[in-house]
Amino acid sequence: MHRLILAATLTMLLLVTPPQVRANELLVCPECPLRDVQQAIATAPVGATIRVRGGVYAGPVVVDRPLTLYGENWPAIDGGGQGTVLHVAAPDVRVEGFIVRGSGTNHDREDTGILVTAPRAQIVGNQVLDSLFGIQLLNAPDGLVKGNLVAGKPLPEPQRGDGIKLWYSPRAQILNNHVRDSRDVIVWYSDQTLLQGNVVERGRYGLHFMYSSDSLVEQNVLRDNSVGIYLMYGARQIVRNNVFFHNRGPSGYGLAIKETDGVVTEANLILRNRVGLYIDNSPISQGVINHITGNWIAYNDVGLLISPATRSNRILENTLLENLEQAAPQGGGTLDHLTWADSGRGNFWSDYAGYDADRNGIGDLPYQNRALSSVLTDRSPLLAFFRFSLVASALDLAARAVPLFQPAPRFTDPAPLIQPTPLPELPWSVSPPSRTDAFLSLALLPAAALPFLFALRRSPRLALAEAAKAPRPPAPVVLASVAPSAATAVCTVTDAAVVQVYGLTKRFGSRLVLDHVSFSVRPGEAVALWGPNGVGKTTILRCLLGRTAYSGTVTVFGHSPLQDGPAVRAHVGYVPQQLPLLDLTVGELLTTVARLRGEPLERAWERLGVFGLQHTWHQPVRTLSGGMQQRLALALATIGDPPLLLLDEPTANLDTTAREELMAALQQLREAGRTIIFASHRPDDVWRLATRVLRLEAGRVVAESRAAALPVRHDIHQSLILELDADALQPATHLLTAHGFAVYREDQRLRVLVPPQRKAEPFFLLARLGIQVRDFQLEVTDGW
Amino acid sequence: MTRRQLLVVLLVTIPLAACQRKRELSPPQIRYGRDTCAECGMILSDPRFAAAATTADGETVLFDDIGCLLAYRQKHSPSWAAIWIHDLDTQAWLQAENAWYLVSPSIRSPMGYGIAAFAGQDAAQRRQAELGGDLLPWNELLARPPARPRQH
Repeated sequence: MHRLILAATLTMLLLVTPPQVRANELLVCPECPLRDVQQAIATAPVGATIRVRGGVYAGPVVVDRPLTLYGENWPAIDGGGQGTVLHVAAPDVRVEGFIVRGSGTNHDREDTGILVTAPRAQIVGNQVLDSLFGIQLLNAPDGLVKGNLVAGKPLPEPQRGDGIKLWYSPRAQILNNHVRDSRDVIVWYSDQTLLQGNVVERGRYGLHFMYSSDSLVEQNVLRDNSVGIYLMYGARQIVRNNVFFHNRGPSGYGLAIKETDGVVTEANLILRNRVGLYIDNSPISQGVINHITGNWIAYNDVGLLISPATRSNRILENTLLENLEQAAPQGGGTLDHLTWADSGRGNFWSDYAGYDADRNGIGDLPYQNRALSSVLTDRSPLLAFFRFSLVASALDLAARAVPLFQPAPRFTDPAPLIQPTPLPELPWSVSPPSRTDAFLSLALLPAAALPFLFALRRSPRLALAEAAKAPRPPAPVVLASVAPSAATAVCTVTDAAVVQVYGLTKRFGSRLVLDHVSFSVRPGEAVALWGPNGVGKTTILRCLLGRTAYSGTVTVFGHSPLQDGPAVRAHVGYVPQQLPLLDLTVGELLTTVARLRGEPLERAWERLGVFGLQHTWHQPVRTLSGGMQQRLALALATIGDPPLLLLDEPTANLDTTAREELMAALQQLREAGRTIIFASHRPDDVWRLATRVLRLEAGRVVAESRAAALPVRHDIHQSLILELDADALQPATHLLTAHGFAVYREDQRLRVLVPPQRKAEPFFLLARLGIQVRDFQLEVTDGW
Repeated sequence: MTRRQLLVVLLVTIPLAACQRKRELSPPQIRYGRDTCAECGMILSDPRFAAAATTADGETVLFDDIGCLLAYRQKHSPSWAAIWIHDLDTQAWLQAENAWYLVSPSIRSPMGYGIAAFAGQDAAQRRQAELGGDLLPWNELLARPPARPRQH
């Protein structure tokens, strides 16, 4: 008996004692004896690990001894809009797993999210948000900055700081970070830097080197910046296997090289920039050669733009594909002093008009760049306005017909390649999956595409005259929780239903995935299948499309998907979680789908405009951003105006901005009376879009709300509705999201979901950036 | 009005009109985030260090760093009628010849020349005490412009 009591006591003690902290470890959490990070640092011995649990901790924090700061469940250090938030002032410090946010905005002090001023720091897997400068290594050699998300302060671009900045910090490794909406990722006076696997978007200069040498820049994606990479005043830089996409700002260069010696630029994909590759007076030293090899330079306004002072560049075995101007000297002159071929091999030019009679892969005539209109444009860039005009064509024709008018060639490639060079190894294909995985992926790709393609058939319009619009959200939630055994009784099957499901059951082997699911959907409803991953949401959609066998009764527009699949799919537009990454361009895909569904191309083109994608017409689908791919999937799904849309986790892979755009598009479709069934595990999407919610757990419908107005989280019961000036809506959304609020745009207002104890915080955050709140309301919901 | 009177009126008014048309030299409006530096080609983002110069006939060139302005002047020997720089503290335009210049490696200017301008000597000296470096009037800065920071 005594032993039993002893065992019970020990068990109780184990249960009530907080988790044991290992030797040389400190634990900080809002309920712990240690609640302050700075205090923990002050008491920690050298080399200790401080584990910080989820919660908000006040900055600034200074780490003044070698330590590991390890965040569990995303603890946030908030600078409160003042100064630098986290300062690593001692060597050998590791900071991992934190949200660092709310720096000041002073450029003189360079207010920073994470500032490092000591050697060998490791900044790994943090989110640095709403900070003027994101991560700064200042006189901090041998640093590691890996796997961080850095989102700049929502300020106009000229007022932003740099996302990542190195200053006299040699041998740094900047790996796999995602930097967006900041100014530059800049490397000043820092040699031997490794920049690998980073994504930098919507900044000024994606990567910017100043007075730095001997760096390796590989497998990065630079998109939607003013300039992708700018190399200035350095030497011996290697730039390879990067993607430069749509960098079209005021300078608009994909890669720019200025007064830099010994650059090796190889196997990059340089796509749709204003200027693909700009070379200005590089190399600058005598006896040095720059190498431009194996790159794909495609669909840019100007492929290569080279200043007249530039010498000693070997431009070999590149593919120059469909650039409006393939290569041009800046301000006129020629480029004949550069090396365009070696050992009988030059470059591939998509506008080469020669032939290869001896079939050796090399054109028998040299490629000469000598269009008269281009020569004139070199001298007066404004004449580019007349490019492709009748006048320009007539000029070029006249020059060819009357050699007297023909200008001297701007350069000659004596050995043009007949076939494009191999597509460079790109960041997303650098680490291929194992053979088995690759095989599976290949097998699954068509399978994934099948429902998508089937759903694209032309559909006769369904008469929806009797369709009554579902009620709109503002009413409080009326929720019917039901026991799983009674789930089939939840939903009423009505005659007017578009979709009727009764007793739907699905097994994969011995595993029961759907267990007597029943529901119906009326015209004009937006019904959410809501639940965590793995509860059977996607399987329900696949059953509705007739893409998998099941037991039970399912009808869609009166047809059984299993027995009459084509008739069902003719009425359905399907948006998969991710669009299959096809090699087609957007235009080719859209044209194909429009033909399949019998929609005039003009209408399909207009549809592309509705989703803001007309500018992507020539762009390969696989190069679109996640948000654009989802908008494209939605545009394709609406071709032929199918009355029912099925969406599978439409916002799963999107960032805040892309999600906002997609949700706005979906809301418009719902307002237009389209019936929507969508699977989602995100309560905020459900709250926003659904008019009715089916809550799924373990393959069963366990609850249903008739008028959806779900709160985003269990602990959120209030919506703060803010009226702001139009130009403040975007930065305010960005800022509040960075501070952990769920924010939704409703016309010219923002709806912010606030926990009871944080109602005033949005006002303080907005005031910090000078954003004025014109009016506000606080709405209370009953909660889920 | 007789022809002679008309001639007199024309002779008087035309030169007057020409005088009026003479352009008043004033600092340009810089479109930050869009305009680029005439020397280095970089986008102008930071008004604290932006500079500009104008020829007598109104042609303006912009610079992102006072060092770029000096480098451009050395290379091209332009005949400028006016040169403007910004006060580091107030970001107000100043006539270049009336300002004081602090040259310090602690000043992180866009191209790294480390030159900042101040309207008054007192403010410049306060910053000098904080950041170190040399304090120079315009003429001395022109006489010994700082070199580009570091070559490989």
